Amino acid sequence: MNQTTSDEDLIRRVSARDGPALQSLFARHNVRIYRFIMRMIRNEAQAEELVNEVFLEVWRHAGRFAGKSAVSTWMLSIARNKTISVMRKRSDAPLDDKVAEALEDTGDTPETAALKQDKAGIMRESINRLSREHREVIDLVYYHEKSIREVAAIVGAPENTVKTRMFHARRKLSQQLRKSGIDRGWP
Amino acid sequence: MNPTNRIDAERSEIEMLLPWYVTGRLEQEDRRRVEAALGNDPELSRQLELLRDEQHAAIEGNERLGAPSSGALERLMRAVEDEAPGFSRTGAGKQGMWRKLAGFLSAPSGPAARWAGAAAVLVIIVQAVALGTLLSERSTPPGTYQTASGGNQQAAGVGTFVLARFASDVTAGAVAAHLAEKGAVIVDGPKPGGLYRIRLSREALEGRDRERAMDAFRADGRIVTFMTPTR
Repeated sequence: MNQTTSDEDLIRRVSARDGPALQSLFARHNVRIYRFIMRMIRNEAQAEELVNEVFLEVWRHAGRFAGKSAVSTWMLSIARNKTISVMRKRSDAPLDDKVAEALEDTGDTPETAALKQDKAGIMRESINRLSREHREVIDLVYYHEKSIREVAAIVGAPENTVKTRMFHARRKLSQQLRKSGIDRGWP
Repeated sequence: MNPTNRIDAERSEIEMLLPWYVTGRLEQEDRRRVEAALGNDPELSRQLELLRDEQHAAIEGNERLGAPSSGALERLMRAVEDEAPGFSRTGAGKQGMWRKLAGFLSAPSGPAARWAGAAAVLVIIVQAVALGTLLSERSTPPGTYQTASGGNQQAAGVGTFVLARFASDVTAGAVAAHLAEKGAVIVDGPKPGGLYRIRLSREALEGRDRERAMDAFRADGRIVTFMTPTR
């Protein structure tokens, strides 16, 4: 393994049952995958468990990786499917997106109140209040820096849908911000 | 579609592409379209600032989510071992410690890690994992697996031990080199306070020998910021 070892090389080695290659993949990607899952499930223990399941899946099926997308895209896709599956089974499933979106800001926790002291905090809080779908696309674009095609592969939607979903996510964000007293002048 | 509608449709399409323009993830053709539109439309240009605010917020929001606990890798490897006893835990070929460690250190930081905060988090995480690997490779025979947090039973028993903290800005490579130079092994950690239990010698040194080993290990204050003897 050298300084230029690619994710694709590591996946090839994992498919040959190379433990250190799996460890390297874990070192490279576990944090981003954890955060991606956490944004959806909002439960640290479950998120950590799911991260392990993602890498176990990679271990089991590395040979199936076709190389049509980046390894990180493939793993995020696995993470998404597993997380959604767990969320569907969970008895304390989070509020339905539409309900969550419709929630009025009826009372701030001390932390939320503190966040609202600054614009960046309000922005973060507003993203948190978006629907899961909208939060997801915003994270995939801005934090994971995925292209339109990659986002489409991860969420299993056409590229045009990804573009419009991102656009609507941003509009919703503006609406949330307006509720918090910040008018961005857009849309 | 009349010309006005066509212009509106093109503008809407460009507007939808802007987030990917900001992250540098547009295909070349789309990027040219966006750049051409930005040159002629001040309102679109103004949106770039909003988009960057959104990007900052998304990144910061993610960074606040933390990371898996230090035992996550160990649990994964145990699960892998349960599924496939006897798998190659030390690689298919004979690889030197440095070669393997280089793999960890070459881990490409995520795009978002260009941000200073993310970079700092990444350093800590990569360091923790690299230290775990270092431990496993230095002190376990082929075919066994061990992480820093898992406790190294073989190394943990007899010897001369200290609790040490490494400088927050030191790289995993520098720590690895320091350990190798001193013949030391991490046997446990990170513990609360970022402390690692380190074996300085396989022998239970005493008196002057013990002091000499400890002095040598903490000599470089840029790497070891705190150290105290322990059993």
